Amino acid sequence: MTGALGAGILQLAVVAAGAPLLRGLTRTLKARLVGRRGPGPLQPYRDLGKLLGKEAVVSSTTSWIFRVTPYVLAATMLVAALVVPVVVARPPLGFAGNAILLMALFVLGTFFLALAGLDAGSAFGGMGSSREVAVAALAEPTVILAIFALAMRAGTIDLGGVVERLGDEPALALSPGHLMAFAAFFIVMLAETGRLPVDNPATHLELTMIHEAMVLEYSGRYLALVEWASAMKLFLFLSLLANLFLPWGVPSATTPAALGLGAVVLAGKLLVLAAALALIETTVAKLRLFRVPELLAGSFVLALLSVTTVFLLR
Amino acid sequence: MRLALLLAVPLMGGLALLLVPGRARRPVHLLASALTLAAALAVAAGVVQAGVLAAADGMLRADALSAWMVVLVAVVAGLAALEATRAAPPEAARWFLPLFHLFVFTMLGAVTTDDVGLMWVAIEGTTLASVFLVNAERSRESLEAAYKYVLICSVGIALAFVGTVMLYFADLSVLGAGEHALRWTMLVDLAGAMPARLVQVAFVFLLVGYGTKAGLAPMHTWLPDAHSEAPAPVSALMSGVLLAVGLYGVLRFKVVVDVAAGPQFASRLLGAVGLASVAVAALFLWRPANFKRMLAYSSIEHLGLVCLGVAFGGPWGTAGAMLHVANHGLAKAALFILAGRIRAAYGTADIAAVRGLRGAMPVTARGFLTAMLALMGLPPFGLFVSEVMIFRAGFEGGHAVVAVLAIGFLVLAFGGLLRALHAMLDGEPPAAVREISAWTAAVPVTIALGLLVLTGIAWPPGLAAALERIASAVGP
Amino acid sequence: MMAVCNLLAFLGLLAALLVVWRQSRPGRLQLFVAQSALLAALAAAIALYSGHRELLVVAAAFAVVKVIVVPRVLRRVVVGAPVRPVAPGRSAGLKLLGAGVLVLVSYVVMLPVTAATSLPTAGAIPLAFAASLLGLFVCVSGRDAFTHILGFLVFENGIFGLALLGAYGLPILVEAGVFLDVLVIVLIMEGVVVQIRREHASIDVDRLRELRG
Repeated sequence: MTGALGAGILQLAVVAAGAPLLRGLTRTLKARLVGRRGPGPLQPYRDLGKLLGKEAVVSSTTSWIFRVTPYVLAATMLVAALVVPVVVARPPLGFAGNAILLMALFVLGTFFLALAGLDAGSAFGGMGSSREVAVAALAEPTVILAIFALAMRAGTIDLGGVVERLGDEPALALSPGHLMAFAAFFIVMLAETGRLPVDNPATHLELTMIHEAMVLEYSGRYLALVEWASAMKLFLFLSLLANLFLPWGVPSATTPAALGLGAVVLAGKLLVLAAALALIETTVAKLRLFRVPELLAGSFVLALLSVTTVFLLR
Repeated sequence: MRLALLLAVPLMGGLALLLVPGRARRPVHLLASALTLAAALAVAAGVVQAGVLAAADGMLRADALSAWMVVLVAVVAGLAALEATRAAPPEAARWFLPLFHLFVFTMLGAVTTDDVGLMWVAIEGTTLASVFLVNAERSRESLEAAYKYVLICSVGIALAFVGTVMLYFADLSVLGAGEHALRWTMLVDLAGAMPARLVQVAFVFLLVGYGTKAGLAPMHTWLPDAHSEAPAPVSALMSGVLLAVGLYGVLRFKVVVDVAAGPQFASRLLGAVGLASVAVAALFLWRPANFKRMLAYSSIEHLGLVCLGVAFGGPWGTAGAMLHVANHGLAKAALFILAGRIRAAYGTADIAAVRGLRGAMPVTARGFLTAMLALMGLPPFGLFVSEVMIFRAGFEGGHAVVAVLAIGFLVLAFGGLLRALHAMLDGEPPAAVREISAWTAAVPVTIALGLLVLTGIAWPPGLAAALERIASAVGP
Repeated sequence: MMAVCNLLAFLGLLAALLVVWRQSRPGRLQLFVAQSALLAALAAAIALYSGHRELLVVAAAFAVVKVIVVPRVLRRVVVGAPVRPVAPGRSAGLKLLGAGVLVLVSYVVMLPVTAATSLPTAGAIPLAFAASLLGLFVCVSGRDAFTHILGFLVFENGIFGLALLGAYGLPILVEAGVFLDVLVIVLIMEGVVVQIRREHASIDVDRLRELRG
């Protein structure tokens, strides 16, 4: 029991502390790929520290939703950190930890963020919210379907169970259906975490932004919380991708040695994924908004195919 | 040896035509065509004597069906070659004759190889060799026709390749591994042990693929364009024998699927496709606007009939179908040659613009009328006999409904053709149109019609036996 | 072995899907090149794992024809073609759904094939066939000559993959004939397309409307 508790605390710490590092790492890699020196990977920590020390300016026209949202975002991500298999296959909230709970947590955050974007009453906030909701509505079913495709092969909807089953039989991870689910999940990951080619995290060009438009009104500690939460979201999605589709070296036991090994393996997988992300972001141009639904429809089709091949090949 | 010679002659002829200067082309061309015909007859004689000819480690193989197709290709090619000397378009004079012989070479190759992979390559080769022949006049219309032709036929034939690959899988699953796994003789031998479902799926692909080449509905859309825009000798070859070569591909695989999955499967599919072709063609033929397109649609109709004959099966059906292929080839060769001349004289292929053919070009008009009557299936010409054979097979085999429907469509087409014929032949002849005076012009048409009379009322000795052997080669 | 084949075949299918989706002509051409390179790699991988050394020659020939020569010819078709701006209304969403249905169809059609094949690569056969069906789909639904040719080539690529995965390739003589055919088709198509462009100042086939009935 103490082992499980320890694992839970470790996992929480890894997600909470590691998320800004992952984001910084992606930025650094991106800068290097285009030939710039760029900021170091620790820059997000400095940004967060600076923001925490600043006064938060809140518009007088906003309601309580605007002020609650950053806390809700951070809280949902922290709870999600206890559901997702990050360093251990069976996290503390694993008993409730199935895909549906996870999606509910993510959607809760998105919901509040979209409301907050509307709350301030600025034109950009509303625009960002409407786009975010449109993208989320198309992306969420794909996430569920892609995870279901894996769950059906593994015979359980429990995320930890899926990871363990795949860990036992790594060849399954390269079966055609699994690859389809991977591609689908990767595309929605890009959409959900606001990366290229759906949204550009590095710009405030008002006509194209989605996530940045919603958080435009935030400042000080509120902005720090929002940024931290979005970094955790990226971290969690990449961990899911890493552990569900590259299912090697995720420990089921909660001994310190196993946990340490799990953390190291996870770091390696995340580094690979971050590099892939940086590579994609430097080679792909942002899509025009009317083509985003096509991309998401494509990923939905892939996820659907992945599910149906389970039945066809049974 | 004879088989190698058969393939070498047109290939060498084509190469020689590429090299010789302008004035020597005509004699070289005629010589090559005559030699091709001679080699074809030699192959046929060999098959009659020995039953089966084989060469090159069995890669080249000619049985009764191959020999029948070889002779048909060579005869129609000979008729078209006679016309090619007069009708080769000046825009493409340098390439026209070499490609003509290359085209003949690919068709002969397709029907004499035992390897179904090479047969596929050769049938695809027929498309490639004839694209520029279709586009020889270099007009907007012929360009469009050539584009549709190469695109649709390449895609179609690629589907046939999928089918071939699947049969290869089926073969390997029985054989394990083997050099000769794509040999047709091997496929037939092993067909009994192949998984029936797999062979059925493969046959569907093959039927669609080679059926595209054969111009069967609903894959026929390229055919009227290509046949109407190509120069007369090329139209004659395409309509007369190219379609038959496509159908030959289907027939070869029908034997395999009959063994692997029972005769019902292929028969039903072929019957459906055949009836659809007859129907599509008949509905168009009711009101044709352009006489070359009219002839092209009539090809679809007749190939549909051949399909029906094969589908009905039995001794009458298959033999009738094969005889019909030959009869149709001869009739279409004569008709496309004459149609090309009419088009050249009037400067258009619109039926509405051609008036008073009887007055303006009396000899051509007489030939056209006779050949059209033969095409419609009137006695004493061969098409009457082969159509009767096909329908007899239909009624005897219990396919009365299909047969009656097909006869209904035939009557519809008959009416349309008759009306078009009447519109062209009668009326006030325009002053500018002149009859072709050279007596040699009458030679190919006379030969074709003469042969049609032979198959109609006076079967030469050996024809019945040959048809019987073909029928037994193609199956039940 | 199985895993590598699955991965390469799947990436090939993904390239075909992207060809369905993308609209830029040079972009689609690059995808075709990528797919061809993947298939050449697949042939090489199968050659190494199964010990069929002659497949290495096929892989090399395939790479030369499909990665170097054919794209060079196609680039000539692309370069002279006037670019048509894409209107927002022309959505590819339905096309993608259709493509998904085709992948399913290929799984269903290939059931008897995979059942009859005992090779370790059998699992990836539906992927290759799906890629070829997608090529056919692109070819049939395309409205300009470049798309037609590209679709046809993707179709051909898929069939090559099918033969590789189902039987470790066809007899070498047939394979050689097929390569030659593809090469000649592409050259002929280029000739015809160049002529069409000269006549109509466009490679949209909507302009080919002279022949009716």
